[in-house]
Amino acid sequence: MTAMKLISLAFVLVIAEGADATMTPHYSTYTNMVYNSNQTVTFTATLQGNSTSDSGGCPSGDHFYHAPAVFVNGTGGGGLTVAPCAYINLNQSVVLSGSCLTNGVGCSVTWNASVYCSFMNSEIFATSIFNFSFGLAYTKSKWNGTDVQYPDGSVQCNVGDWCTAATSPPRCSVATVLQEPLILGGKATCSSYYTTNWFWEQPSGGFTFCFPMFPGQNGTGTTDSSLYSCTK
Amino acid sequence: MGNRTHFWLGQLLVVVAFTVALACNSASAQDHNHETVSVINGSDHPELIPDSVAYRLYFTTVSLPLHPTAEQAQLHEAQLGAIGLSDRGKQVMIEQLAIFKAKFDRLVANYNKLINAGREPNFSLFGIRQESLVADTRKALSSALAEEDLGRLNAYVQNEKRHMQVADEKGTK
Repeated sequence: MTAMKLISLAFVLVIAEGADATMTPHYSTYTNMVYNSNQTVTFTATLQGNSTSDSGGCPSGDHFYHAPAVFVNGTGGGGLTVAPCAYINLNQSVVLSGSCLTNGVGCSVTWNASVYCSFMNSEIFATSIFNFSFGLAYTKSKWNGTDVQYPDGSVQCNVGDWCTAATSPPRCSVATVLQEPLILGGKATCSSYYTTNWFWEQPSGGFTFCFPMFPGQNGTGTTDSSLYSCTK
Repeated sequence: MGNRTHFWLGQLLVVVAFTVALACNSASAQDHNHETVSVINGSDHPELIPDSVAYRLYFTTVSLPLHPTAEQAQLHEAQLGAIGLSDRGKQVMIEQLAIFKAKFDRLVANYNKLINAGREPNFSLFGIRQESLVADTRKALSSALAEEDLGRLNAYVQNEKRHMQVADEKGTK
């Protein structure tokens, strides 16, 4: 009788451990970079999604778990374990500062995300380690005398770089500046010169992306005609 | 059969059963496959990332937890500042993101609660609810934001698609 009980117990264990599962990962990532008002930049990496079990249900038990992690410049991790099918929403932020922001070389950021799976004893999902540089740039431009008027009173001013020979071509160039009217209902006019503050980023081995630090405003008018030492 | 023979036969069966159990366990570990799914790289093909997914990733990344630290609040301010919204627009965003965050966290918590309880997860329903929450938030923002602010928010999120890598989410829809 005792032997029969033990056999039954063993059979139950076979069924529990034999639960087959084919897991499919559906994880997405997003990185957000913002300039703070105190000459620093905050970089945030997000990992979001879940794994689905194709055989229905989900492997359960203490030793069936997934452990997500996000690292930015080696900082972060996960610190939590979840059921294999659980939905994950994890992010990690790091504040970056220093002369690398403005020296034209740029600050370096590396990040990666992964989901460790206990029953594979490995990662079900792992991004490569992303490496890229970013920084702040300044450009001066000169209006070339041509523009496009819009019915709402704004005007698109066509410009060219106005940087010293040593800093030409600049890292970020402006082709047009949209000038809004100063008074609602009024008509805007082009300034002779503009300065633009940029945020630039360059993935390792990739092209440089430039975007204005102040959205919707890619140029501030000025009458100063001197050539500017732009960020190269 | 005598009692002694019965006992040894029982012992043998137990050993066989455990051996089978261990073999099945080992096979089971190998059966836990992980299939790969296609991923859209936003830096190459931002146009292939659906707006609903882009807004969800953006909303969840920039929304504040229920009791934010001073550091988190400062980052939130900078993240909203990056869009170039008016003061009024920023206020609307803060309010709508707080509503979104509370609902999103509740949605995820309820979903994970079922999984932790060993219930079969309904991916399809979860995906629909998630998408519906994003749509409702965007609708609320469309009604409350000035046209210019709405245009700036949309331009910002479209631009942010370059920083997204989105997995095929068929399994959750």
